[in-house]
Amino acid sequence: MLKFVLLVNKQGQTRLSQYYEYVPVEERVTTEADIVRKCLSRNEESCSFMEYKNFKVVFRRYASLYFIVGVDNSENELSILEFIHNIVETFDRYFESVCELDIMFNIDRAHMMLDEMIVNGNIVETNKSRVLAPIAVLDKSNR
Amino acid sequence: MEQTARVLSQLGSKDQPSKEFQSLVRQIGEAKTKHEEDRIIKKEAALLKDKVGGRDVTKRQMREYLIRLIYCEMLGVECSWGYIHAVKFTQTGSTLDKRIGYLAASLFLHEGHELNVLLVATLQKDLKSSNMLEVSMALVSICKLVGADMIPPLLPLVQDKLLHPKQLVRKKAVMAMHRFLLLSPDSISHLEDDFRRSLSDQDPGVMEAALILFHDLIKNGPIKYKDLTESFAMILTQVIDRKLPEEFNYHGVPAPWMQMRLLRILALLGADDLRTSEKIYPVVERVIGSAECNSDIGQAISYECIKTVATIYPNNSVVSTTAKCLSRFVTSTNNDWRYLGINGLASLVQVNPKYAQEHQMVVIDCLDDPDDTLRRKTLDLLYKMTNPLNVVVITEKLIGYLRQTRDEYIRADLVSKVTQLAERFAPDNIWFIQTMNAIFELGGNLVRREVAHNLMRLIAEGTDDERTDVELRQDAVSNYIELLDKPNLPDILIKIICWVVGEYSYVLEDTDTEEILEKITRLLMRTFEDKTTTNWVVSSVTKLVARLGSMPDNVQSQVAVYLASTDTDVQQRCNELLELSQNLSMMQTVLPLDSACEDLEVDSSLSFLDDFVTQSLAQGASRYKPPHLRPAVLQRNQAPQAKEIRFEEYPMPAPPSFHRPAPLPSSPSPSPRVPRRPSEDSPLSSPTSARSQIAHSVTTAPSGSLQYAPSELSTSGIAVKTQRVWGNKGYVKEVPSVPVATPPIATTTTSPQQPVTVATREGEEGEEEGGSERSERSGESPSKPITAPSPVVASIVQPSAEEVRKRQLASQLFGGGGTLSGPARAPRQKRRGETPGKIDSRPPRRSVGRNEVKSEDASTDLLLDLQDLDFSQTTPPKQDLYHPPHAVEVKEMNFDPLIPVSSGGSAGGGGGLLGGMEIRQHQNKSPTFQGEISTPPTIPPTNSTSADLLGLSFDDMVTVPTDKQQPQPQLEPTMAVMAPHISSDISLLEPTPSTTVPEVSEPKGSLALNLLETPLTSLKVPDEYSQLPPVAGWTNKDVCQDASLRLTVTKLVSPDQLVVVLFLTNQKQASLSDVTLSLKPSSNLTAKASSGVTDLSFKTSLTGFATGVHVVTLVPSSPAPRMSLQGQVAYSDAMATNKRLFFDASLLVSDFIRPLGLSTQEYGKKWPGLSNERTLNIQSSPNTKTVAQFMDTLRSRLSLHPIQIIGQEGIAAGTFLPKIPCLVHGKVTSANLDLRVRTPSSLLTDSLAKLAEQVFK
Repeated sequence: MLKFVLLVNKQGQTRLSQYYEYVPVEERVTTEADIVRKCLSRNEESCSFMEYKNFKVVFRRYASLYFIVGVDNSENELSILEFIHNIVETFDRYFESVCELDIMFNIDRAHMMLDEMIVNGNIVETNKSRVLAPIAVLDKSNR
Repeated sequence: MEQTARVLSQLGSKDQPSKEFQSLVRQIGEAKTKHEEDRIIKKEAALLKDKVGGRDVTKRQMREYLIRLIYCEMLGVECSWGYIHAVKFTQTGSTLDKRIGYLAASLFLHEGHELNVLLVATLQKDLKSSNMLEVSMALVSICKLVGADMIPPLLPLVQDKLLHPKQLVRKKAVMAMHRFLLLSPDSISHLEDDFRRSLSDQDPGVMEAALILFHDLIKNGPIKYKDLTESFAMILTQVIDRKLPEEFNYHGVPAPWMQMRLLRILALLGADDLRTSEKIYPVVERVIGSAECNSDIGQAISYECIKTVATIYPNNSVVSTTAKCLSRFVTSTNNDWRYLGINGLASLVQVNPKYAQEHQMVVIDCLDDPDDTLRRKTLDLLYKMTNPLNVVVITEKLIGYLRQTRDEYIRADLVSKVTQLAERFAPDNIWFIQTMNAIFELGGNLVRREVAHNLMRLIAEGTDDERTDVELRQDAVSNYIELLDKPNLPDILIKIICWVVGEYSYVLEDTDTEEILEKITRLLMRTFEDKTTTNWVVSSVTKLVARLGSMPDNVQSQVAVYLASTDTDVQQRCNELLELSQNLSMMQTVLPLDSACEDLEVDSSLSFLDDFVTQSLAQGASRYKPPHLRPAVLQRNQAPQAKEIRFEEYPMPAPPSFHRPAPLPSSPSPSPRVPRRPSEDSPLSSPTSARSQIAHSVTTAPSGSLQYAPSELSTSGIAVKTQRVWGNKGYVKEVPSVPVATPPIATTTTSPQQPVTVATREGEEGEEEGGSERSERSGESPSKPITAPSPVVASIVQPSAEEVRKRQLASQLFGGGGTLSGPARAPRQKRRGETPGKIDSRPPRRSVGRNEVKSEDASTDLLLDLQDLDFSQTTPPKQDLYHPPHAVEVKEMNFDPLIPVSSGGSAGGGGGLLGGMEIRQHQNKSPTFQGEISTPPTIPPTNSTSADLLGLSFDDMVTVPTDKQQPQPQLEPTMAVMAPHISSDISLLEPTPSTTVPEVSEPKGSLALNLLETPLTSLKVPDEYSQLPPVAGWTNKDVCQDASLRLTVTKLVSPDQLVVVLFLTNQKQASLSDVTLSLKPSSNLTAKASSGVTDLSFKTSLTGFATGVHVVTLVPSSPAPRMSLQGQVAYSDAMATNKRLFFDASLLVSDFIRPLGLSTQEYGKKWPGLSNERTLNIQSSPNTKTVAQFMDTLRSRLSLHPIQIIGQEGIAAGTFLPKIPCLVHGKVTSANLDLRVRTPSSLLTDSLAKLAEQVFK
């Protein structure tokens, strides 16, 4: 099961966070800082997985942004790593070559995409066109 | 900024954000530090607080405010004042506004938040909306916000959406159901058919969502879904055959995540189940074959296959295919892949340890890899492959890592792992003590406290060899004295040091006692986390002062400080020390050398006072009168006093506090009823204090000693609670004090001395018996492990020094992996110190509190001993014990899987692994097995099934590939806990040969099928129950079966309980041994086996086609929403392969309802008194057309007593066992049935109403 999805930049500033288990706001801040610090301390050759407390963290870096996913022990780390890439590809298709600011200005849309892809901490949709379809309709209705 | 401009121009076309929003995002983006960001966000939050609540906020503004609030919350400023606006915004008009409202609400709120209730009406409205997007967003929000209490109003609406024309909505509805499942499995248990329909939905997306739902359903109980195995396998085949639309591909791989989900589901279904696993092998092999091995996603699928294969019933050819695939991971240069390779190895070594050996050099490399995660995972792998040969090296590696890591979680994990390994595989005592010292020093606060006690006990009791003992103690004491110089020691280590140094400092000949005393006294200046530590220090000082024979001034002043301690226990000890030091010669008598293990002779008749008494009497004192003979007046005077002061039995004090009157010789003890705590609470109830007690008694009143002896005895009374014994058997056995000595270690946690006392107490009794053994064993000193030379070291022309080092390490690690050769086993055998001949002289140590079955026959006893040991979690696997009799080996294998090994590896992974290796060894020894091992390639996996089915002629042939004999490491802990009960040996089974025996001996395929259908008529309920009526639909119902065994259940209605008759039928001619049926009823049920057994575990053997009958009666202690009788049947077939079947026989409320004969008046009187009512409005169905039909259904399906029909209405009553009344009132109209259920308990009302709803729908 996925516990959270986190987008953090190299300065450790959170750009997007979704939790699939309730964590109080203050605790989120400290956990996020802690995890980012750990991610930053890993070098290029190190593997993309870490143990954090009683769960695992899978992360992947895209330019200045870290995509970090917390998962429980039953999850397949490599599949999560690829799932991160799938998220990025989806973002990319929607924003047309996505960058950090795209996500900042459209944080609501980014959340909606994640809502389509992950439900109850499970990967439910990985088909990009299906993820984007409802959002496209929403955008159209608002125009 | 260029990017910003581009983004902004893009945004312009969609939804132009306001200047304020733009500037907020810019500010956040440009913030250099966390501090700056905080400042911006706090300012923003304050600004929003003003604006959001203001008037005339347009929808567009509101939308933006909410997004800005999302920012504030995300960056750490809680804005709970804004939540309500998000909730309100969900009720607004436009779809986008709604979506933003729901999004904000789902990010701000969480399950159980008080505002969630406000959302219910909106969610209901949106679920009914004709706009697909609105329905979809409502379903998304349900997944994020709904709690169990909100399910009922939403469930019917969500259920409708399962049939929505749009796949998007159907998919989300399935996920909402998944959410309900997570919240309350009962709420949707009646919707199974709908879920199965979703699973076969024509849209792959909906089907994928249904897979998630089924994944969790199967996790909760796989038995019900075994029939779906083929379906899942077929879906998986279709996926890899690229039957899905191309848009589901990811980088050319068809629906990879769906593939992995299916593999995981199949793993759950196939675990421990040969028949199901056989359906899985082909498809898993196909997936392995089709997965690309050069892309990450392909490798992810391969890895999932490895995990699946390691979980399901092992099959030789599939496992070896998987192992080949695994080498792609471990030999890779990509660390992600290597990481998975190590993980995969860790799961495969539990199937067969040889796989780790193949990759030993890679493992060694990973151990030195700069990557922390990889190193850590490698340690996990090592932990799982530990055996007596490599334990020293592996423990060293683990401790090495422990030394450098600061992460508390990892530290706790490592400490528990090292402790487990040391307890299980320790090659000798000195090594054990050194390892444990290292652990205490590095992670003392993380160690279980009983571990410390075992350590102290080991040092105190030692072996029977004096010289070894002295060496052991010298080693320990000098180590501990060195440790005293370290500034920060964990409390638990200080306690150990104090005790060991206090007791055994004398063994070091060349050390100055005064110096040691000085060092120990200095400890008093430290501050301890645990207050009781001070007690230990003072006790140690006391002993050292006695040793030294004088009281140094600095010690005196140091101790005097504690006279004023707030802790009475410390005060007490200091007083004792100071008083004793006045009379040093007495002090030395009171605290003699090496006395921890000596027996105490308590003169409970106080004969030493005889002179004193005679003298007093002569001087005119009155005779002692027992309290009950004393005049009443006196007692009344005393009574209130006692109440006021209450010296006695305060339950509170921390374990070591020992309330004793100050033993000042000058102050007489206050009263004859001196409070005395039972000694299990007091660390000082050891020889030392007890001795001092007696010493005081000589000079003062006899009070204390009076009750001392009994309390000491009571210690042995609690013996039964043993949890763990230090697994080092040699040591355990060497204590002649057989049964009672163990438990206090587990129960008392702060007192090292006490177990010792008890042990020696017992030791005296055991002396005569144990004496002979002692002398036999005394020659066997523990020896260091002999490492076997590495069997596999590839030759490389000129290995570098580094290479050589690695190779050495590899041979140390893996040397023991394949075969455990003689030298390795030797020391363990010695330590165990027994041969079968010796064992019968006394019962096994741990058998206290159980039925002790003594047998003259040595081999039987031996088996008992094995059972005894094998079930304990800590004792080392019995492999080291005995080789000779073949029967014993088979026995071993049978019990093996009961060693709890979690796949995660937390609870003793080594056990299962070892078990596996051991069996391998047995196989190698047996010529039959060996001959067959070479054959598997020619025999496809299915052959073994047919052999199973035929059951007869093939039974003697070993067609099952070797790996099938591996015990499955997965085992539910609860089962493991239940396991020891098996040896209670109570069996109700009376195997009765079935009538079909002779005809079936021909191995014909067609006949084999018939065999499965053993006629159920042969199942006869025992006579005493044959009069009872069965529950409808529950006569001879099969609850689980495989090729050889079938479990059939009949439920019978008895007036005051539910009688469950369980039939175990052997479906083949070959007999089944050790058939163990363990039952686990829901917690609200009190179950009794007919013979009065309470542990609900039955064990027997079944001859061919025989049926065993067990009877269990169930009475609920309280109503519960869901009741069931779960359990497992474990047995070993003719191949001595362990099999396990799980079952779950559901129990309905109606099983426990009995008709209650009330008159209409009585009913009328009772009705208002029952407070919990549920009303149901059910659409009319065939069985509720008329009132009479309705009443009839109540009687037959709900076991209620129909009282009266009044026009369109009917009333009925019943008793929920033992005696909770349930009243039902129904009104039947042409279209509807209005049903009212009343009982005193809301749980009962709910469950009854739910059942009624099912019955009448």
